[in-house]
Amino acid sequence: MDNDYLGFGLGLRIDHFQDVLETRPDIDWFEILSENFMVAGGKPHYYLHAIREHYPMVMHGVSLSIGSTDPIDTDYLKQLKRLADDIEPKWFSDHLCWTSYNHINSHDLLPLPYNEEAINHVVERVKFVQEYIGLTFLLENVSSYLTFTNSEMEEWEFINEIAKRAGCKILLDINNVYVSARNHGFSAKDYLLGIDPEYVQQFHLAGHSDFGDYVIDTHDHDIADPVWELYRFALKRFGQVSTMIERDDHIPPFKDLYAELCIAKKIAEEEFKKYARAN
Amino acid sequence: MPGLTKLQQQFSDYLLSRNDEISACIVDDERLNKHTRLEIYKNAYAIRLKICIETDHPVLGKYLGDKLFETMADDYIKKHPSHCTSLRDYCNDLPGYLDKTEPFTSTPILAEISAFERTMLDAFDAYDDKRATVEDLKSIKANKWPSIKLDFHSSVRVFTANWNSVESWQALKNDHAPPGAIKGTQQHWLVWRGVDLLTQFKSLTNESYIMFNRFESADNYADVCETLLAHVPEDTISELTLKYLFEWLNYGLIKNISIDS
Ligand SMILES: [Fe+2]
Repeated sequence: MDNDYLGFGLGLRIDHFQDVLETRPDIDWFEILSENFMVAGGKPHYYLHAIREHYPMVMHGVSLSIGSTDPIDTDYLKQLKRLADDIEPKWFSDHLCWTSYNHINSHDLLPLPYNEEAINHVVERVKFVQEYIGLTFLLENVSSYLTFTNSEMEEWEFINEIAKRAGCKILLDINNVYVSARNHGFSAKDYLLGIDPEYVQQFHLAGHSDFGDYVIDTHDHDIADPVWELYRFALKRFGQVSTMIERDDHIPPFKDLYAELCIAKKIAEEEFKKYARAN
Repeated sequence: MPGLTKLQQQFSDYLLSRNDEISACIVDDERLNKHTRLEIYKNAYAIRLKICIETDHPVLGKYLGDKLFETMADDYIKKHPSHCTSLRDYCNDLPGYLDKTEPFTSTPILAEISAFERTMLDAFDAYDDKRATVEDLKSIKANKWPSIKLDFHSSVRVFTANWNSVESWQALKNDHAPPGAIKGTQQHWLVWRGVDLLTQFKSLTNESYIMFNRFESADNYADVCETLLAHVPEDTISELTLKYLFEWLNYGLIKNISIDS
């Protein structure tokens, strides 16, 4: 099997530490939120190391601010490196966005204009970060709520181009594709068809909040039916890709998230069976 | 059209309610106008910071009540754009803010409660040191005892209260009404992360505070006893110091016992 394929994972959340350690659920891997463990010590560290002994992990961050025009936060990068050296993840990821300007942090995943200037800026920074950490870096597409007038291309063209020039991979968040498609009125399938399969190394699945006129990426609900449908479509296009579910709010008992992951697994099995039959 | 730097400056200004120059750079469409689109980000910014204050300072929130907490949070967010990488640090200035800002400054216990909550959070995240045991202490030969020195666990902090802030914190934590705010004699509290990884605290008697302070300042056991002479009868010192040493070891407060050479 491909070395980059981990199977089906979940986001490791503080609420589930004890459960995971005690019940050792049948899960292929965990994605950790890097920032949760950027503390000197204590409970999160204890559980992280204990759980790491039993599961492969990848690191996912929210604070790299790869698209910001502020200089790269080297303190943050050092902490990221320390954590990576410590838990030896398969890869690390963050979002194709910016979070701070002039060191004022929005703590949000803010959108970039899709143009040549932003591509050049992000590519240089991705190369630097990937080299510094010494692991494959995955850039994730974010949910967005507005478009800049100076965008010159589609988001999928933008992300492909960055992955190609920077030599990084893509973390394709299927829910974010759905959310942005609804908010901007493009076709989510066009987006997936536009993404170059060569670069896709991981999927995110998550829930959102639907306000009718717009949709917000809240990670506080079960995965919605249209996102499951889109996931099916993504499997057809990208084949077997390491997949995990993100849940960050209204976190249900672990068994419920596990059940949701089993749905993802089942859908993948169905799709690959169909594929095998067709061939 | 502004370049990337200018665009981010304008976007940031919008989030901080400084101006809305950015709106000229946003596509307007009939599905959702650009102001609604921008507001989604502005609201998210404020909500995220407010949740951070609520999460870090639940007891302060209870003490203030919903309405005053909202006022406080809105004002703090306005005056304190986040300069920190991690939201963990966003409320570091909250005790100082409450201390200096009306109407909170006239209720000084508020700043103290928030400072106590921050001390607890600090202890929770502190470095994982090893912990010395009672056996380590017992293994030290009698003639070496005067030279004993202590290193405390990284999570250990002393919180000094001028008001009955910790008692109020305890009452509210247990969903009881807090006692009236009283400025009493200064009270010191030890705060640390226990062996079970949970944050603990305990009031310090005057003697144990002196003893802790001297050991923390790298005095040896003989020097500590010497200092205590001014505060307690000489014939009680060895019993007293032993009691605290064993207590501290049992609580996991001591990282290392060394012999002063
Ligand atoms: Fe995601």
